[in-house]
Amino acid sequence: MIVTQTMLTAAGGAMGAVARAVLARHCDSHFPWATFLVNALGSMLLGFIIAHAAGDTGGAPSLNEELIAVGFCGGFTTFSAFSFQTLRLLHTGHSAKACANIVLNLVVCLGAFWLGLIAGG
Amino acid sequence: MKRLKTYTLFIICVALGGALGSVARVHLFAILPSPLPWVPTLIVNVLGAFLIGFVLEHDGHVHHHIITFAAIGFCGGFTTLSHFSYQTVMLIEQGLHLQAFANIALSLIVTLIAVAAGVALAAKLPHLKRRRR
Repeated sequence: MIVTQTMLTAAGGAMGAVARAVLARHCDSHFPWATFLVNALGSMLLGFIIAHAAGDTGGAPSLNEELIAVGFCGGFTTFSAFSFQTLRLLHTGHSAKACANIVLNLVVCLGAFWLGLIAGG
Repeated sequence: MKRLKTYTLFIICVALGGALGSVARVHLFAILPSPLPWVPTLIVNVLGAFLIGFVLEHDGHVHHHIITFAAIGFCGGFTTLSHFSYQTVMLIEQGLHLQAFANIALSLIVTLIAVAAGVALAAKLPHLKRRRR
């Protein structure tokens, strides 16, 4: 069972990371929009999955599908890139952009998760 | 053709790193002490932030595929903002506003310090110092 869980997490994580990297590669900007976008979308998706799993009454995705989805959200969203980019904005004197980045990732993503919860419930 | 090869290698490095990072995170969650449910996520994000600072300071000094694997793949897959959002919203819904605020503040401040520490440690490494001269 642990082997299966590990494989599913790895598959979800790999897909999430690739989706994030491809998105970031095509989204070249002075502001880290791509990181915010993946974090908001990933938070919303996780909220949706969790609400969906909680209201499981048949016809809902199997445990394995949930594991892949949770693996995907974890691999798709990233805290490390957010922290790195915020620090870089601060270092280069872009304090206002750094603050905006913090609010977007740490506050707006909470709202995105909550929206996902409502949509999935 | 060369561009396609570079792009394919980029995807493979990200996928491998993302898979390893996600598995490492899930297994670490299982063994980390969790006095409060949000603490393991905080620890993982701080470790990942330290690592990305350390790795990205090596940019230009090691092969770019290694940077892609370690920073975009592993650190990105290891750290997670979706679980941070999940736990913070749950704390708010349970009325534990102080813990929710502590989670947001600690996640932000400690990860920023961790990135700076990772960068500082890498900058102290003799092989990076030597090449900069």
